[in-house]
Amino acid sequence: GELPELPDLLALGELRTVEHPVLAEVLERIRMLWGFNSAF
Amino acid sequence: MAQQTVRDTGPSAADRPDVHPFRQFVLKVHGHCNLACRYCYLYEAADHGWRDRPALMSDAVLERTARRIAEHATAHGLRHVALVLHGGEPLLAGAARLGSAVDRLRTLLPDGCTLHPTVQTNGTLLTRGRLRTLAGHGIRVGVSLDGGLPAHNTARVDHAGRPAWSRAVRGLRLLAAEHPDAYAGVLAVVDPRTDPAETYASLAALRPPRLDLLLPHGNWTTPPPHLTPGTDRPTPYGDWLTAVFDAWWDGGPGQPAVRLFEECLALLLGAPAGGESLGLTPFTAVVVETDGSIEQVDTLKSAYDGAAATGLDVFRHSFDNALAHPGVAARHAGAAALAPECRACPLVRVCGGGQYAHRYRRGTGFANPSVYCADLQRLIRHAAGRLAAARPPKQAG
Repeated sequence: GELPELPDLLALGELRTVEHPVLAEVLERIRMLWGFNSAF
Repeated sequence: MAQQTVRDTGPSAADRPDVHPFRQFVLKVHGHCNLACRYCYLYEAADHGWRDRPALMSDAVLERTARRIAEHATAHGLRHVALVLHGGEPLLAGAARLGSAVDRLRTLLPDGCTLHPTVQTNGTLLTRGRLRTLAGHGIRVGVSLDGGLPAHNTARVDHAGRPAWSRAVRGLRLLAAEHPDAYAGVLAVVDPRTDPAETYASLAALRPPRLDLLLPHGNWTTPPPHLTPGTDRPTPYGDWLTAVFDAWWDGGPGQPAVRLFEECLALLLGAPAGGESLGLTPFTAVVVETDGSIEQVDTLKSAYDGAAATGLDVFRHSFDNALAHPGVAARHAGAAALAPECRACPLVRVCGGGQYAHRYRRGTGFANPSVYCADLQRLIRHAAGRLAAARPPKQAG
């Protein structure tokens, strides 16, 4: 059924307070040029 | 299926606010390959159009394509354009030739528009000299490799059946050691028979700044390997991907940016998608074949012969004409283009129906869930659970 309730990234400024190291790096990056997934 | 041709007349797409211009141009600079990978969607799948085209993209096609890209960038006020030098094996065209093509396009683009060129190679032709040439022209290099060990790459062989692994990894190590700023990343096709943690660790050891894990192309009519389509079935790809997700998530700082996982997390957190694997963001890539034909992305060729064709070419048509093609428009339609069961699914904003080519079924076209539906559910729910447990900051108010 439904997914767990998660924060809406669009509403967050705060991201740097995330303690999970991989998530913190991901959030920095996702905070568009490619689409074709057979290349970088 | 008849090709649908659009004439170079009528109102410009640039004048319509609902139009999503192309931002990524995939140039098939060479139509042949020095390898014969057993799963290749170009040479081993349903479409055999490559046999009727010239091997090398000519100077005339390169020039006309560059002018068409510049025309499109100007019409839509683009500040960034991505150029993917693709094949076949693009380095068969020669590194210097690729550099010249990139320089020419930079010259033609309007002021204020930055070009981001990459070449996607199997790595076997990467030498110190070629890398120096590519890096000197500002071309970043992506390498296709299915794992960091020889056993992960048994499907990647040359035309004599000899493994490509040793040549590919030699080139990749040169790239990582001598031109790290030009190292775009590694693309790996998932084989669920391999050990997921070992495969991920071996890929991470190659120090790619970015990594993507690609599901083998297949659909409901021609299923992917190791998968029996149906609703109540094992999820070998989902299981493999969740195991790799955990190795990545628990790996500590400095992990490569795994595109599939980052797309999943971005979408779970309400950010837009940036690629075609997940999400509902309009797809803004277009392909130019060696003869100048304008096509939809070539992964569609895994569905049926001619699936990517538009009937357009750079000599007679603009990229705005391609935006009006029904096949392109379908990929800008978001949820409206999905199957009813997808539109009703609570995961649709994340999976987006999965990759377009994987939805195909003979007789009903692309209005189906992905053949990987159950596997994608497995990954998305797992990632959502791990994300929730990581307790990102709560929203104010």
